[in-house]
Amino acid sequence: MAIRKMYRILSIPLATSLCLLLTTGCWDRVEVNDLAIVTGAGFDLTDDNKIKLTIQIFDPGSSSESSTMGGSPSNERKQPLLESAVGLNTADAASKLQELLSRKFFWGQADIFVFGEKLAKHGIQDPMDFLTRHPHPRERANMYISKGNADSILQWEPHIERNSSEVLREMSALQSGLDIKLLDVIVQLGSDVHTTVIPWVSMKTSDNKPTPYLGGYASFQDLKLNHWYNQQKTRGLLWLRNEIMTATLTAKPGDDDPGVVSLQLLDTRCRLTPSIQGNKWRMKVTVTTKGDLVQSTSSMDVTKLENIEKLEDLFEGVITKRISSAVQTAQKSNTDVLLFAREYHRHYPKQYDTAKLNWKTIFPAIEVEYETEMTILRTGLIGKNTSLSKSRKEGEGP
Amino acid sequence: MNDNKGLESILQMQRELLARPISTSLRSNTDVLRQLFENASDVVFHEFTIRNGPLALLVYIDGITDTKELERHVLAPLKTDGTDGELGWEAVIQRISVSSSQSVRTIQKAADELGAGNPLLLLEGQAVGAFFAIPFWQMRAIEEPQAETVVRGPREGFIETLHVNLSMIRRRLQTPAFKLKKLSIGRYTKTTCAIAYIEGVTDPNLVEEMERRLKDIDVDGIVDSNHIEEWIEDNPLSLFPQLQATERPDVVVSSLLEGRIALLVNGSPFSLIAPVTLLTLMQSSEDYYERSFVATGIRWLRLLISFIAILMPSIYVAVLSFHQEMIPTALLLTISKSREQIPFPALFEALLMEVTFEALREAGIRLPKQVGSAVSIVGALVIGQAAISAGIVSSPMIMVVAITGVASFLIPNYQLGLAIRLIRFPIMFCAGLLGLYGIVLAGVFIVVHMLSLRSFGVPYLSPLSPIQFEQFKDTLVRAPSWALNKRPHLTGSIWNKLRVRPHHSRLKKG
Repeated sequence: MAIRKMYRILSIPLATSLCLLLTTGCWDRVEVNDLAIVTGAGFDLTDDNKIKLTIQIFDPGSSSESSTMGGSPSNERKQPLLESAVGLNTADAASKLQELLSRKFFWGQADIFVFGEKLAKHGIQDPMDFLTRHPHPRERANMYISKGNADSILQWEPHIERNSSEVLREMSALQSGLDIKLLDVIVQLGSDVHTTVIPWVSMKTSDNKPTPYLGGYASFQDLKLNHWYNQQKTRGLLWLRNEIMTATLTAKPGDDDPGVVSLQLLDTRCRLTPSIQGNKWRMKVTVTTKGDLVQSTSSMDVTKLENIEKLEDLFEGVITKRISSAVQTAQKSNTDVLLFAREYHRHYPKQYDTAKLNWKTIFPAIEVEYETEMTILRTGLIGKNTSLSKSRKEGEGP
Repeated sequence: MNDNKGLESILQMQRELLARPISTSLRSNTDVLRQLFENASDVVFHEFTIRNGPLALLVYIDGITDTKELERHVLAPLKTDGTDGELGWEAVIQRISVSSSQSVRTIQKAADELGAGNPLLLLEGQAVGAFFAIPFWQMRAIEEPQAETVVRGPREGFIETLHVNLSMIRRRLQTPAFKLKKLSIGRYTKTTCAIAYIEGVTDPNLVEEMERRLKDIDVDGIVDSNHIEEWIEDNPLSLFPQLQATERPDVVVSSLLEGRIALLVNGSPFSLIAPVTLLTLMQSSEDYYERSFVATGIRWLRLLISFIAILMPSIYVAVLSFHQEMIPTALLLTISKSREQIPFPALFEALLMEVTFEALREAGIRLPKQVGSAVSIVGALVIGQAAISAGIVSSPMIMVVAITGVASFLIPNYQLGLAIRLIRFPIMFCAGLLGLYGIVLAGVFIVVHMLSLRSFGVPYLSPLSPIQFEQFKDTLVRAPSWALNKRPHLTGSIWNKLRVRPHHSRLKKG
């Protein structure tokens, strides 16, 4: 009895394994040794309007580890392994690229996607479709627009990180506003106004060595590159979009004062209040921010309340200027990266519904008002700058 | 055919001899017993005449009967003082100063008592015999239990002699409510077993059920308590232990106080506790001897680590051969660097190392102590450095095997630990075939199996399923003993609920 039961129980795994023998073709196991791990990819447009796909592959290295007994993985830096291929579209380029490789290439760990300037101006629809449709690329990969060709960024050999992809990713992580993922781009492009911002990166020479740096936002209208925002305007944009965490502002307190004052912003909130009066579309931008004084070489006595108020006014002006310059640029290039459309959609859904078709004529004409409110919370560990400034007259301080 | 006939006649004769009653003729009784114990050189037949009395025969087995006691209290009074010319049974018995004696009327009973070490006295002209309970047990000293050591807690463990083990429990449970039911199992070994329980705390149906299952055992011999365990557990084909084997008297006593029953087996230092659940098997007696916060922390650690012991190699294999996108980039790159020169797929690598590890561990247990160190040196070299430098396995794999190995030692119940060690391998195969999906399938299979398990009617996963919040105090956490004011409800309607009288709880006083 028990033996019969045992046979019955044993027959289940036996039957299962016999069935499995027929399905060995379905087995999708891939060893790590058979993968070419893509750490970053670049997309460029060739002269004959084809897509050039460049991938940065991780080189697992020679037997350096296994030859030394129990040694740690070596820290030698190697030239990043780059492969590229040209195809009619991205998928075609990818399949051609696969022909060049001995290992199956694996998108799952790609940290960054870089679009070349030429491709960005022509339109990024082709690679975007591939990246969103294909199941492997991560939606949390960072997106960049390269000034120049995308492969030049991937090619660059960093000194401090593993590869250039890692460098860019870490740089973005430090500056949260410039941390734009593939998913963010998809979501933004899905809105009514079809705009998005992607950080741009270019090579800058410092100390005779080229180094990539993140310059700011590149705005996109209908998948086409539309405007490069510089660092200052990008800051303004970040304020508007409520994406700034901390920032340091520096300004001269007055024409007759030789010193400079710096302020670290701790908490910044921006509120957009739209209004429609007749035919006039208005937007009120309210910024409230708090900050600490981190440096002051001016002769101003920051322990006095009226001086603090003066400084607050000064920085309010700086912030307003930055934001307004970003707004003006956006309106001039007629790209609603300010998310104004979203605000109108929320507050005036009916009016927006009729207006959204000719948003392109409404958006540049929106009148924007600014109201900035700044509070300086602390003036630092030292109050008045007595010991450090020599030029101060005797007996001025208590 | 002839052999069979010969065997049949031998068995027939044994049965016939045993079935006889004790006759009035001492000569015929002697003949029967001599025939029965033919070729048993350790059986001593001592014929003598009682002073002023009848002819007598003393039979005992040398080595398991206390001969000094026998000579002083049985032989000496009968031979030197004797009776006052009376031939009657009563007169003889009165001369003997042994506290425990009983009469026997059948050869079967007489043979059983002889086997238990009790000397038998037969008289001429009497159809009855007497035996005296003066057995002599050669036993080892009480030592610290080897398999269940604690830092704080009692250091005595059961030994192979039943009555010593029972005395250890009795010393801790001095109430008359502590009951012992003795019975013997095994046609040849006649192993004495004792069911221990506390009347009024234990569900009587539980005791009855245990008795019923024990009586169903039909076997020639019981050598260890595991033989009984295999006969009485609810699901004999399950991988998981459904009775708790312990060699600690304190564990038995605290289980009895919870309303469980214990089965002690002569010849085995391991007693069996029933019913048990998975979570009670995950508890160590030391949990109750340390401060409750510490004990709770250790319990959680143990639960966490047991998941690692079951799943870690499987998850490593699954993730590495199916879900490379799940690994953090930096880690994947490191792994891929160290795996670069490895010729085997991850599944094979894992199996190779796990099997090697299990083999080394088994070798370490079986080897004599003098050779043991050699094994550990070779093991450390094989598992550690040589395998990596030879490029056969990668160093992350060694890490995984080592952590899994350490993790499996954390499971306090050895039988459960063995089950978990074994179950790792099928899960590893599932992981190698189907990835995480395979692990989930195997996990579902195991959980469903455990849900269907019962230990003497108690669901194996209780109090997690069916959920019993009251018992979480002594499963997921270990509440202080004043807070453990209720006994677990195991089976049946009889439930002596309160361990602490309500007004005595320190919880109330704050």
